[in-house]
Amino acid sequence: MKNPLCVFKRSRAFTVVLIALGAVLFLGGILLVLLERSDRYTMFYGFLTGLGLCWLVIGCIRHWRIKRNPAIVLEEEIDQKDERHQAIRSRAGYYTFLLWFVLLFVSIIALVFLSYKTASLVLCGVLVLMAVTFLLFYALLQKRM
Amino acid sequence: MKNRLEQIRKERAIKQEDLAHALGVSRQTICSLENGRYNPSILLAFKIARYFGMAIEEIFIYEEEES
Repeated sequence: MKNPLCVFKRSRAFTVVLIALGAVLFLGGILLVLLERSDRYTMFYGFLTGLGLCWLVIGCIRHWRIKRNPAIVLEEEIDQKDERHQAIRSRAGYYTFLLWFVLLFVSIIALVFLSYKTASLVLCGVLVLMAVTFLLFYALLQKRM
Repeated sequence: MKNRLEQIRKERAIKQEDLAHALGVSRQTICSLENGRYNPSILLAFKIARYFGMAIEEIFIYEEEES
């Protein structure tokens, strides 16, 4: 395992970046909402504000937890690198991909029957992208492993 | 794949947490290994064998699957 000090420094850096980005998004979103004269992009700005606030809160909670018990950082590092957890994540990701592929396919058929051409075409594009991306990653990993 | 991990660990009075920490894995992984629910990678198997100062075959028992 890596030097605990390096792990701790990296974790603290991540927390700082999370808090900083969250603050920027939150304040930036609010500023954009106040400056925007029309209602055109209000929903998007609201989304940015909410996302920034989430990151800010999560970053602060993480900072407080690490300060209270620094050993958490090492436990997280072990959980991240643990081979069984990696195998579980990998398999879960694959099953999720398969499920979403089937769900998308079913959705496309439903939309075609309901005569929503544009929506079905968009989902078709997403489906093709998913398949192509999967095949590309598979080919790449076959060469590397 | 069967193993004698739990037996060897208890003989030496080592806790699962201590073994997990020494090997750089989680306690759940040690638990799954001992229950036979998870087979370790060759790297982890070597680490375990080295930790106990034993050969891999003394800890992990490979049995041919009956066809």
